[in-house]
Amino acid sequence: MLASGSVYLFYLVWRATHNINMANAWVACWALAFYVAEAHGFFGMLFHYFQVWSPTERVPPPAPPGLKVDVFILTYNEDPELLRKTILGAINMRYPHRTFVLDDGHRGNVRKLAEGLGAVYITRSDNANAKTGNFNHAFKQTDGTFIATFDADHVPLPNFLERTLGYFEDPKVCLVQTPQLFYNVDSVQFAADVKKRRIWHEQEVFFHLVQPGKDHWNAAFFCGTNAVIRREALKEWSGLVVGGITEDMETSILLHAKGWRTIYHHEVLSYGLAAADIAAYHKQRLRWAEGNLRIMRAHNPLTIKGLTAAQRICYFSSIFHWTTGFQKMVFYVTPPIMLMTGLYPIAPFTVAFLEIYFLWLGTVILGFYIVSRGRGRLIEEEVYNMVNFVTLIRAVVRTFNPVPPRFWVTPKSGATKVDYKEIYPHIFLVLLSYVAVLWTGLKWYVGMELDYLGVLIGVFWVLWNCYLVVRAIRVAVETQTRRSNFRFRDYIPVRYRSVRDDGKVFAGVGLTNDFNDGGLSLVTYEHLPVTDRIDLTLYLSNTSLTVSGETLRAETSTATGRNRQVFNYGVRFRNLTSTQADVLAQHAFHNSVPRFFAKFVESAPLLIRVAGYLMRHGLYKRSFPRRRVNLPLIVGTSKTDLSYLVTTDMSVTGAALEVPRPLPWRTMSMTILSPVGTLDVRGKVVREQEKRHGGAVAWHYGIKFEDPTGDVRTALGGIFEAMKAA
Amino acid sequence: MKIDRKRFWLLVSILFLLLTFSELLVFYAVYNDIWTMNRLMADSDQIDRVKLGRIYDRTLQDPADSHLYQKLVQLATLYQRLGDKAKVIYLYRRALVLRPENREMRLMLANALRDTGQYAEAAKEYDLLVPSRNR
Repeated sequence: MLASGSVYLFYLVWRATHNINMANAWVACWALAFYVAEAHGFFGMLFHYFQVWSPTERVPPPAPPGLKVDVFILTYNEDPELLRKTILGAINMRYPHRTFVLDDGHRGNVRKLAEGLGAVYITRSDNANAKTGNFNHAFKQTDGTFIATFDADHVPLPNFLERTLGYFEDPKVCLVQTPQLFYNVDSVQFAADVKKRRIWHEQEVFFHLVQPGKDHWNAAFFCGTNAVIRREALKEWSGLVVGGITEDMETSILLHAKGWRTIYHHEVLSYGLAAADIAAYHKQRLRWAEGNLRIMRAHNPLTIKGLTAAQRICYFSSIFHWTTGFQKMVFYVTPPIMLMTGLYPIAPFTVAFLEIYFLWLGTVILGFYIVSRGRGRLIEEEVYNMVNFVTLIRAVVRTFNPVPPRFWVTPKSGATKVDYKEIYPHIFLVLLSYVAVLWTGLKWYVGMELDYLGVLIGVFWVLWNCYLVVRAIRVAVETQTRRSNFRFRDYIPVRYRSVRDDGKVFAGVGLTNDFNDGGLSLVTYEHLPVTDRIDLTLYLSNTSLTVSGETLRAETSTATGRNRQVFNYGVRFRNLTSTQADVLAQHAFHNSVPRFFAKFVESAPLLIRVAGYLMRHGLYKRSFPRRRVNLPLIVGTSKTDLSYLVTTDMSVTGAALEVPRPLPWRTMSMTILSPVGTLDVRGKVVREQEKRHGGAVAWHYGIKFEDPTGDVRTALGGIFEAMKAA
Repeated sequence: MKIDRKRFWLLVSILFLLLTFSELLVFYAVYNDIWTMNRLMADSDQIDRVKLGRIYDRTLQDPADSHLYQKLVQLATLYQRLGDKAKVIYLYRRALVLRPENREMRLMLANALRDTGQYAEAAKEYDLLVPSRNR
């Protein structure tokens, strides 16, 4: 950190003394803007380094029994079905508590829903002060010593309170904040590659590095949801601080100024929905940016009394972060101007300059990766800077308006259409870059004298920006949650039974690809009729659920022969009761979502990745490679005592299973269902490990097949070939 | 107007084509003379004196042209090929006002002066080229 900070400082001083082009007034203005943009980067980097100097990883003290806890769920216009999942999640938290649904939408059906599930419904006559007013109204009507607060889309896990309440043993602690993680991984802010098991979202660095880093300086702040607050701390304001549109940060500043402590508990204990489409995303970012910037007018963290120096820096750096829009714009428009005019903000633009520039750039990039501790993705960060730069500029401009705006809610339900207006600035940048490159090309063609070094740098830089623009446009037009109701990815074993018109019965075992309370996607290894009646038994982690539905469509994944086909059916549930929907929702949030995220390993530092690659490809190889194959499996010793499971990976000599409860057997007979038919095999448990995913416990088993004749190996080899083709 | 995917990309494509077309027009207007002179230089046969004369006049009439230097050099090269030494000397002198540090051009000016028998003038330019005498 110190090295890259020093190199950056040296670079800036050297640039200031040697390399600012002052050829004429216009060029000087441009060159100075460019220099200020570079200096902005320096301060941004310093602030970031300061914040992430020593991120905390806390072990939570046990929650003392007998605390009086109120849980607030704040809603305004969210879909009751979405809200139902949150209320259910809140009610199912294990620590004794009362759940309140705070409805600013004054909706009768939400009252019915809340009371039906056992929550208390609170509404008010007006909607004064929006979300803050809603919270404060309930604050006055309740008396719990601690308040856990959730937005309408954030579903808490059963252990949320158990993991957070223990910190309040310290009487100075006023707030425990937990990270936000979003389960709609196809939304705008995710860069997810499920196949390669890589996932990253735009707020990853904030929630997993910056907030733990701020926690070290006692400067972790409230993020509006997924937090527990001590009532006593808010008494002075009768709730949250009223005034701005980002009440969370304002309240945190004032709490810190009063000498309270905040804790960041770095463990995902709830799952929410990210803004589904690009318009909603920009709306949300604009509110955050403008709200945070306006805090400089209302409660300036640099001057307010009571904060420590470190807290001042941390708050200021969070606010400073929202000013990057201008900096990025300067970097985006500079290369086209360079190419069009043949002028440079840097002069003299020589090889010596480039040597120093690349030394600086290399150090900064290396510093970024070291500091990020595996959480940072430079290219993705730059893509989202490109996505956001206009919104951030708008936020800064709007901040100068003395009249504060009203709070607006981020739409969270599924996206419907792409709003192309959001990408007009990016299209403009592409066209500007194109014009600049074409102009340079024509100049070269007609024999104009050109500064080839400058042209080369300019063209390279323009191409890099165009790459970012294309990625940003793809984020806007391609990444969006398409379903109004998100489908959870999980391989759940399913027994199915369907009858064709001629009376032929199709029954067997398959597995789901994804599901929600509307339907599921069913994978089978035999052709099923597309009928209006299919009976399904889903073997969930703690229970089984029998439902009926209709098959809507069929897709054949492969056609490598009649017996080697994998069929994928869309099934829509019929007459799903609310109790059944609740069982599914519970399974989704307690098992499917935590397990889904557990699949993604954190991005390791480069050296570790290189070593891992060498280990995998050069120094060490498994004699029987493992494959991530998910096949349904029936395990048991007798026909009446069967368990339906799914393999997590397999080789020709064994399989790995993840089971919700311990298996009672050390050896067992198993039936593996596959595209090439069923395979009966005996297996022996060779490894057993208990793992926790978001509060749910699962047992991981390593099974070795007993295969004295080698037949199983041959058969499994065939299965893998068929799966590969699929 | 409702903008859907198809309409949006159609508009972007039209804008793209319009920009290309207008840029070509603007470019031609700005760099027409340089382009023409380059073609004349590439022409191994005869150089069109009339065309070159027009460019010569236009160039000298616009001393604020940001590409004046390149035009002067190109004109000088073309007139050199035509053997019009007086114009060559004049053009080199004008170009040297813009970039007095260009030694190669000063040498060519000195040679042109020598070839036309202006030895005293040529000697002055040669003198300027020798660093020790230049001090």
